[in-house]
Amino acid sequence: MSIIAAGMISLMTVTAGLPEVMWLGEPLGSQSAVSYAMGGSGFMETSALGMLENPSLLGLSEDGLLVEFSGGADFIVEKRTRRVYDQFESSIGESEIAFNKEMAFFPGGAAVALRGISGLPGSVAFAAGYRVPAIFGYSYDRIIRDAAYVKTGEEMLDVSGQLNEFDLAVAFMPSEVLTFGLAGGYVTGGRDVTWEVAYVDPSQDGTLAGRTESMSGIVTRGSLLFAPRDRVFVSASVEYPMALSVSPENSGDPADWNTLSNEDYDLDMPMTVKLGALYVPGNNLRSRVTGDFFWSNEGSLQFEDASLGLSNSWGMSFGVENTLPGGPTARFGFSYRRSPIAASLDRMSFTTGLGFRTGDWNLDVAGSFSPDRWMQTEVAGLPSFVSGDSLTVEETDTRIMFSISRAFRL
Amino acid sequence: MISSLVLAACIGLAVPGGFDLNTATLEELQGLPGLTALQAEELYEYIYETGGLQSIYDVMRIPGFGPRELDYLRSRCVVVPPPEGMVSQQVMNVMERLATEDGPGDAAVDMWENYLIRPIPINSATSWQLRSLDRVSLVDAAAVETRLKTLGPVSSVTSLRNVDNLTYYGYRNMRDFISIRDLDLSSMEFFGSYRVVVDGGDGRFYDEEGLGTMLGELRSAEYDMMSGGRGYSESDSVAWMERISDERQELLQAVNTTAWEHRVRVGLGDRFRGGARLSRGRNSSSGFGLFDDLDLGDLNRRFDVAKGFASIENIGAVRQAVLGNYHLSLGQGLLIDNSDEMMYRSTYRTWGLYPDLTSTRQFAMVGGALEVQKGPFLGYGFYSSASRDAIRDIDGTPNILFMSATRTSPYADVVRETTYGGYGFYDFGGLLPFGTAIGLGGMNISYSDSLVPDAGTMDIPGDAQVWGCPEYDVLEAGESSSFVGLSAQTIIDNVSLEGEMVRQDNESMAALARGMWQNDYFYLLGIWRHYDLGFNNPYNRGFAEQLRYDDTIFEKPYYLNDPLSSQLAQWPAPKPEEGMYIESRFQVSRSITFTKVYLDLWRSIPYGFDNYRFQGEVEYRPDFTVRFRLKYKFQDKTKMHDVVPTTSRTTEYTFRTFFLPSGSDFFDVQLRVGMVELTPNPLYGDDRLMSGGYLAARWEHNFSEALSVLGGTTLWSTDGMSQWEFEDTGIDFLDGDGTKFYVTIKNNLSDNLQLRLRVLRKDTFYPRTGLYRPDPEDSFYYQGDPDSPVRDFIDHATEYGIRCQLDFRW
Repeated sequence: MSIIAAGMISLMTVTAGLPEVMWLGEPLGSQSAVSYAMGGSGFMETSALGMLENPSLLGLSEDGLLVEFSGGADFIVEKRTRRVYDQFESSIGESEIAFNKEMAFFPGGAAVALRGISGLPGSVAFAAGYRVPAIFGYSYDRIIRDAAYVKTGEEMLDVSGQLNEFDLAVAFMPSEVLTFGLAGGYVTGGRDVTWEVAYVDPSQDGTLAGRTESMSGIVTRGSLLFAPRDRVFVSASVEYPMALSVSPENSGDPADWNTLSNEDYDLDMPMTVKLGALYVPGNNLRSRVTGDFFWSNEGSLQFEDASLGLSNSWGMSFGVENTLPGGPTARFGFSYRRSPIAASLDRMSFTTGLGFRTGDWNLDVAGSFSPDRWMQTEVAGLPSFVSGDSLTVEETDTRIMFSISRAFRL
Repeated sequence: MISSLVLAACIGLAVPGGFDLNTATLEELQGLPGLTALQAEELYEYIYETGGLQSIYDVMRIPGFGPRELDYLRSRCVVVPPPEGMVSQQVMNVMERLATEDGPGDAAVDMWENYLIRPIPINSATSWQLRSLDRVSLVDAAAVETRLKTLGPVSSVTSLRNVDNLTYYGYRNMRDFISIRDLDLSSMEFFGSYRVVVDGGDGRFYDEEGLGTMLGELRSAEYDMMSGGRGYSESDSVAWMERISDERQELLQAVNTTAWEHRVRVGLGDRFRGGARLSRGRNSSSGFGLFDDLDLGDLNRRFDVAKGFASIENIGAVRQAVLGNYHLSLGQGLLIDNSDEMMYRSTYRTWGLYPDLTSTRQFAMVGGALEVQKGPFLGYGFYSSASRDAIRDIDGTPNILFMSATRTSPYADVVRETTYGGYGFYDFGGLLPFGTAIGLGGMNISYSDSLVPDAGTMDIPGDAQVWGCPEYDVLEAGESSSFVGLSAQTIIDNVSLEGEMVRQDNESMAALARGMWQNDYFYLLGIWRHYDLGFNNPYNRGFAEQLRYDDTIFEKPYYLNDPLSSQLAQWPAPKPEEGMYIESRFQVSRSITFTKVYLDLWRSIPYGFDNYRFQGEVEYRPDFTVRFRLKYKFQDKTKMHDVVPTTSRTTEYTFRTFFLPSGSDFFDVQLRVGMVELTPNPLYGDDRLMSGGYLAARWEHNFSEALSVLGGTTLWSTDGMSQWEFEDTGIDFLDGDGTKFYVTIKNNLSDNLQLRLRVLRKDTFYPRTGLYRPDPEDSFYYQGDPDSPVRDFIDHATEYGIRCQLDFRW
């Protein structure tokens, strides 16, 4: 569901919002800690949650009932700096003007997958569940000072909310090497934004503005899984969302806020094509290797017959799992994602995690780390929190996820 | 196969000493009472070289093994045959090491990897071939050739072990790349590799001569011009402003760009090789033509280096013919070594002709090259036509060749260079000691447009700075240069003597003579070199203490019209100097070794300043698992400065320990402190003392042969004296105060899939104090907001790096 998040960001950016990394937080990627530790994408993950995103993976599931729950926390540290010059216009460094930390907990999802039970044809499998494709979490705080370094006020921005998706998936397996999958989901959720500027001097007017948006839509997915040879599986999918309906409501002082109206509108969503592979080398560490690539056509998106000014985006992720003899399962991976908004917002992540097994229960934990640095001037259409052209944002996003799963043989 | 493994495991439990011979360690084999220590070693070596025994009866092929040893081993051990097509673990380890050594000067790495898959047939090898291998000296190569030519072919590589004058290190360094096989010219075995590297991350890092500094200097130059601080004519002023501004805009696009590398290599039997590379460096600007006059659209915006080659080998006298990109390094590197990199005091040089898929760009040869061997004659011929970067005057005239990581349009692809030449060697082996040869070579370089050095257009008009750069001033205008080289080498027992002299058509010359005496416990190396001031061969990579434009005005971007011209300081050719370098390694006893001791005495030719540098390092190893090293370095160097020369005296101490607490752990701690004393200068007033040091620790744990994790941290503090350290993947410079953490994961997922993943965080702190200025005209301020003065602050730069490298081989 990252495309929906991207689409929302696009609109907000063009209409004087903020870039995706600040405004919407991040798309979650995988909702399962297993695949989250392996590059962050769930496209080739054979967990119940992964099968909601790529239904053809039901072809790799075992007979029985598979149940999975997940959740996590997002920790964002943001530093804003301005470049300092001497009288010769020579830079001597960058001075920090704001430092923000934000921690948000989120549910990842819950899903069940069913295959090979009596009464069902052996070549059909199902999955159903709930997942959170994207979260909105950002907090900004800055002290306003005058030329004599005296505090004159404070500026705050707060964004919260999330998208929810309820999915049903079905897969058909005409042969041992081929599986077709179809899935559909209903998307709902909301986002709350509050911006406040308060001055120490009571005679100086401050600003308090808010905007609440409710969103709903439908997303469909079709995918296939093919096993060209032993230990190798490849998969392809197309994700096609319907238009997202957005109902906004502004409050406070709209004049200082933005030009978005209170009227409902529909936002066209981009189509996404994904390709992935799973390789099981068969070594002593019982390794698994996954990799996937996606391409999304944000470049063709329009709003009210005008281009949103975005670029097509793409991304890739890569992950490895090793089962240490006598120990836990160790996973790591990395991902790279090109932003549809500006090249400086491209993001690279390192992921890692461990898996523990007790009886039929599996507990998996994962973590990711993504650094980002960009200048305000590199993203067109952004409002500036401070005057000047050198505002630089340094952000690190550290995310922890866990998931619990169990397989029942019915 | 599985049943064999189960059987092996069972026997391993039931029978003392019972294990799979193919996976046994040397210690396990030496623990077998039925084998002598030498036999255990021979068996280990045989398994190592052949990739594994197919059956227990293979041991009969090992010299010194007979029915008794066969019966003994058959009753005690098992053999689990390696799977078909498996690359041995030893070969994987070498590939892993080579994968970390890929750099602009390492075109040879690709060929070494090919040799791991299809080794050099040792019985028909010459010393020329062997010395092209990784760290194989001329004495080692000649020792093997002498053995083969005088006593005939060998039946196994192991039997070279005791060849006269072949050191243990020489044997160890060549054994992975040679075998007793014959060339199979009819083979159509298809092999190759694909590598993808993504190197990115984010943040800000201090790079004294890099992108961040250049952006700052460009902005400062813009301001200087806007405020009328330069004495240009009106038209020049407008032109310079436009150029500086455009350059800055181009470089801004390069900030924090991610590095990508795609590289594919293929081979067909012993005959054909091919490969291609498409890459972009980190923080590197692109947008220039990857191939001249060919519009590749988006590829040009995404990548900055494109390379490719096709080569054929072993056709009669033609040992190798390469079309496309190639790297050539011959003699002592005074005539030809087309690398973008020159390491200070590098005593090791790869030799020969190699297809080139490295990151080398400015000195990349594009065309064709040939290596021919007929009897005692070995010849190389080469031709290249490629565009070259150059500093351009404001009127567009090419000024001087140039190389820069911060590449922009005014400098890119300014002239086309056509280079051709050849080098022939006559081998006197047999008549004189093997390894004795003389060589004669020549090279002509011409440019599509004349290069016109003109200090007047580089230096800011009316600037008070004295230009003072003899290395630049001596250059003459012209569009071609030619060079003639003469080289000679010989061997006397375990002593090698080599030399090369090259003369340029402007009457200048360069010469280098080198002698090395070596055995298993000792070597003594001496190098004498002389480079005339006027000797300006861009392909000279001879041994030197300094780069040609070190300690010149090109280290000061603020003294130049275009600050980007200062990148000429990175020009990888030796400084005009004359000197004598002596280096030694000496193992006093089993536990004490002087690992590297050297003394370099050299004179700066333009100014006649005498300098010296000494380094001594001693290692104490009380036990196999512990090593202590103490290193001392002292340097006394004088350089021309404003008004009077300045002498710097550098002292540095390094203490390092290595621990191997278990077979799968490696621990390394290093402490370094140093100081630099500068003699009085009107710029400083009094003596000036700078200092710096760091503490670094590294730990590597091998979970299995296929998975290891390495973590490291460094804490440093400097007061004007920057530090540097070697990480696992390269050199890193440390400024200010700071901390650094990194983790590298290495995972051999299968015989043909390797992964390396690295994460780094580096924090650098620069306190900026004393910024308060009562006069607004003199104040420090935020960019774009001159009315907001800035007080003291700590400039905290955080750099994050994430690097992923995937190698797939087949």
